[in-house]
Amino acid sequence: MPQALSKTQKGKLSIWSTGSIDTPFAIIVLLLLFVGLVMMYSASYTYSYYERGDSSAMIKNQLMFAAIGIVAMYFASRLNYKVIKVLAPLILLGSVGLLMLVLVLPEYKPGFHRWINLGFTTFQPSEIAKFALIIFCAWGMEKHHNVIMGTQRLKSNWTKRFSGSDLGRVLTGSFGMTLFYGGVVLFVALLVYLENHMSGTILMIGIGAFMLYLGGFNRWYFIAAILGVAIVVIYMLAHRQDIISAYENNEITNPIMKAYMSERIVAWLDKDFDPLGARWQTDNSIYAIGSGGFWGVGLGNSKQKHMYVSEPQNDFIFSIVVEELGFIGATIILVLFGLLIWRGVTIGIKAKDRFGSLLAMGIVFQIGLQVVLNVAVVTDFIPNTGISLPFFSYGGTSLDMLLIEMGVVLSISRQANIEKIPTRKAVKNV
Amino acid sequence: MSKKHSLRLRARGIIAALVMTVGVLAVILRVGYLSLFRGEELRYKAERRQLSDSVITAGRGAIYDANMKVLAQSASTWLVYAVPSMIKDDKDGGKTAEEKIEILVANLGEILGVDEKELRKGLSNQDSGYYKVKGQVEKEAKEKVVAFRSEYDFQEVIGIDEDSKRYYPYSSFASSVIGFVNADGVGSGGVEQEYNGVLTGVEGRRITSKNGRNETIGADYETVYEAQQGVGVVLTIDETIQYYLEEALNQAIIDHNAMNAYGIVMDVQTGAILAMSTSPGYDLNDPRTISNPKLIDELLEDETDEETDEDEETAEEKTTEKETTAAEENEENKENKTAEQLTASQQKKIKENEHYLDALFAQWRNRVVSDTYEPGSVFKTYVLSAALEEGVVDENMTYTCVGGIQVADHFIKCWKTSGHGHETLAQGLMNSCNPFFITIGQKMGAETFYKYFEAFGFTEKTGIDLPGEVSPKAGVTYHTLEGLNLPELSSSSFGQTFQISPIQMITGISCIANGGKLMKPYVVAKTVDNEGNTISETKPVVRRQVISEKTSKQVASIMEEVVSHGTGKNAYVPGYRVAGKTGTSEKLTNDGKYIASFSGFAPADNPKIAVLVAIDEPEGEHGGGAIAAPIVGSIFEKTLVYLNVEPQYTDEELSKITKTAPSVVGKTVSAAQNEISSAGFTVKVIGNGDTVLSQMPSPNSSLPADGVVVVYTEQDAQAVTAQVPSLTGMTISQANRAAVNAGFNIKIIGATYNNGEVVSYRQSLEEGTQAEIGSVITVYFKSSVNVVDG
Repeated sequence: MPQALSKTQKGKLSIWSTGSIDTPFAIIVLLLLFVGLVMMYSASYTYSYYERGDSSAMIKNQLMFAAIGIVAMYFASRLNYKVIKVLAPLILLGSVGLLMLVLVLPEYKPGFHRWINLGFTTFQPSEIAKFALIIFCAWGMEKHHNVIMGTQRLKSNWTKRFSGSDLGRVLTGSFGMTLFYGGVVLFVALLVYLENHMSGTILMIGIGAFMLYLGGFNRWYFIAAILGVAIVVIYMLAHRQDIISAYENNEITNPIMKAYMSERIVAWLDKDFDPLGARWQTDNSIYAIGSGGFWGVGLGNSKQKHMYVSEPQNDFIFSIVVEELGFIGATIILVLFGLLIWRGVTIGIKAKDRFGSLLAMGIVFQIGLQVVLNVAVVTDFIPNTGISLPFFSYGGTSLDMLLIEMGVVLSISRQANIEKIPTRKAVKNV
Repeated sequence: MSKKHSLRLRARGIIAALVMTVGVLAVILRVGYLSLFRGEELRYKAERRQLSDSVITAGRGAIYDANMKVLAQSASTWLVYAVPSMIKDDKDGGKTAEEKIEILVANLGEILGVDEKELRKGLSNQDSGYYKVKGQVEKEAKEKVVAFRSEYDFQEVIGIDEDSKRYYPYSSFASSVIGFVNADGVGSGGVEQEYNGVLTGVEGRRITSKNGRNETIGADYETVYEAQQGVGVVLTIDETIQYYLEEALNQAIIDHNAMNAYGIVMDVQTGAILAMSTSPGYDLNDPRTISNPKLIDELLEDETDEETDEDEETAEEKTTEKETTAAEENEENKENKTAEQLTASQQKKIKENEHYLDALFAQWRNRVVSDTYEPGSVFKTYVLSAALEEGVVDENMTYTCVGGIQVADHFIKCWKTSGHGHETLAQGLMNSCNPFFITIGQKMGAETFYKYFEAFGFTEKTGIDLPGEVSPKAGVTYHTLEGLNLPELSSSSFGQTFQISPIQMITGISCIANGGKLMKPYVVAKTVDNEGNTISETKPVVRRQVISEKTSKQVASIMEEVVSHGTGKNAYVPGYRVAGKTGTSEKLTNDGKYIASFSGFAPADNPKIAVLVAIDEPEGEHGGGAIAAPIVGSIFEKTLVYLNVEPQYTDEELSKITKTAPSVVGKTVSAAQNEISSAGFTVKVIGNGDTVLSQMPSPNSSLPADGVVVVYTEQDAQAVTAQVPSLTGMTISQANRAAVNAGFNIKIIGATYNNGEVVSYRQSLEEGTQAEIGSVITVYFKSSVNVVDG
């Protein structure tokens, strides 16, 4: 709805924002970044050595992106986030355009239309789309807040034409908003799904659901959705044997799930399924976790990273973390992520405007969602999807994207009505 | 923001954060469940993938003879293996995996001599992390592999591990005692089997970590448990005495075309086995090749028969051709007898024969401890011992043999059907008179007979430290006391209707010889570590006192007379007092086949060694006194000399004794002639020189008193040769005359000097060949009369 854009442009918009950032959030981010880089190095050096002959090849690359990312994070924190609000619809349109573009570009990895190759690096449009969806939802749910809450009807030159009819009344009311934003989320998710990117699709729907919930939509939608997912999972667990044997007899014909997806679900249901193939990675992942015990085998001492956990620096990096740092190290890291979420939510609650609130919360919930899903996959809690672990998994552009988002949260914190601890004092106390 | 709305947002934000927190807590619990609750199980599974456990072989201990000569030894060899999963295409356009496999197959095939087809198959299995190319690779070939490996940069593909190989430097020597080591490194037969535990040592282990591609990772992850080397075993077997025994037995097999011959030499005081052989032996380095010519013939004949059958079935046009081949092969079979001369196709035929395995087991069998035989007349010595010990008979007892005796409703004939007439007790044994011993047996009664049968150890194993000792079975191999009714008692009294093993027999003979102590025989004297330090030593074990010293002496002197005047005279050795007894028994399992045996000890007045020799299935002559006794005599002579037992000659012997050739080299011809003549020899001078430059035979050689000494007086003089005459079938003086006439000397072996009945039966240089004059020809004599026994 680009015509809505002009309404927000009241008064003069300053590009830079002042005020101090929320130091606890910044410290948590930097801590996670530091631990993440150390563990990325530890997990990647065997793979780097075997595949590239240089055990520090990957960490060098990652460090370079981290340096760029910290600078980008700083600039994002200085940028007045209201600039983003102004650009929100454009950002979503641009990112949808990229999602469509990647589908027609040649495959970067065989069978997967996920990456765009820029020559010096590659990136996934879905990474941008996640952020764009959060921005767009935050923008729209601020703008149409009253409509969503049912206290107003959508009023514009365009909607006047049909708002008189019964159908028009429904469409310009709360239910219309539900259809519209639900549709936007599902549309973006569909584009990601067409990339053959199941985990991205799940994340997109998850992020969308969180945003819609924060946006104030009727809670029964969400309760119904959660129940629906629960029923599917319980059904699958209850019919474990039937599904496994149906799969083995090639009887599964499912229009939504592609072959590799059903294989992963079966590999999750049947712990003895194809140990050298579909379950190789998961088995080795839980072996690594089990080998870690309470205290871990010590930093750098993982054996499972020696080509057992394939590509240990990517989605399965957390298994190496548990093997080396043990249950205790893993818990500390997960608690750090928990603190990040809570601090982000606090910033959101105290933000100056609804857009800032929704944006800050959306960003930290996206991270939380990825962390929980990633660790659930690594621990064989849910089927193997390809979700990376923020701050830890290898990947330069996604790390930079993440740091920019962190910068945005910090930018929101500058204007938030939050009790500030001066950075200098905070650093002293640490 | 309106307050109401912001409150709602705040509430939803907190609820969402709580949901997220529940998610984080859930995965923390999940991590805890896996790392703590299931940690052990998962770590075990991880280690099963990560760790590779390789065995460090412990060097097998060596086997030595009594004088520390090495009889069996393990040498370090190498095992070459490949890692097929590491054969990959080169990344930047180098060789493909297929090309690499071809290079590997060609080179390894040539260096190691392995089948290329097999090798290619093994290397092409890309999923495999280990393929054994060849074990027991010698150092030279291993170094070639190493060179090849670095030349083609196959460090990751070819691996080399330690391996070991057992060597038997004397191949077939003492084979049934030593045994061999099978493909799994486990001793099979003989000392190798009995002492496998100490010889083997304890294997070590090397635990290494591998990565997911089956490659070994860093030495930091390696744990090594060192191997404990095997212990060396020193036998009581003396290589020299063993050689005397085997030489004599092998000659006997050839002379009598026998199936087997076996013998034992025992130290009567301790029970230590000085030599033990089942001949013919087999090559310990190649135990799966049949080496007994008789067995080879049997296996080949079998096969030929089958082929003839096939011939009848084949189409007519092929028949002629095939028959020719079969005929040729038949020809071959007859000509080629030893294993080395067999063609490859014959070797193959043998191995495919359905009786091949039976033949192998027969070849490996240590008949001395594993087989039983009817002892025959040798057993009379035990009956005599028991009777004297119990006072049933005394030395003054006499008996009149009429050629047989009535036992219940059977008339048992003496072997001499005309009867021996009136005999003393000693003459009864010398004549090996059956009725006499039946009478003695009946006189002492079943109870006494059985008491001594048991006491001499015939109802139990001797306990020798060799595997496979036959276990006597009551009522089967021997009569129980209840089963010893008059007929059984009578037949048992002259050594028939029951069976014992040779090792039981020699242990009993030693008991009679050593003053009545029944010893536990043993072949291992001690165990030693790598430096030769003794770890443990075998102490002789006296099982029990069977007869008194007095009885022992009485029996020994009667047995001595058997050799000096009776059926055992072929075992007589001048200068040594040999006691013994002959025996001949028909094999129960095989009609018309015999075992000829002789058991004895020497010196009779102070016994040192006991010898048992048995010839299994001799052709022609089959009497123990005729064919076994001469062998025992030659073994006694050589062994007693070797053991430095001083000979004590009788006057009669002294007159016949050989003299040593004087040393005349460097002396003038006339002085030499004088010296040689005065020593009683004939002189032959070759050449016209003044001084003696060389002589034949060499100084200090033993010659008969009237032998020939040839002296050479010219530089570069050609050795004068003459044709060797026939010296067999003659008396000593006839043979000596024939030899001296032809310009040769003789050395007299075997036989007795005390009468003219001995006849030569073999000579060391073959008749009709050319030999240097003055050479010493060894001539073997034996007695042809009064050596027949029961």
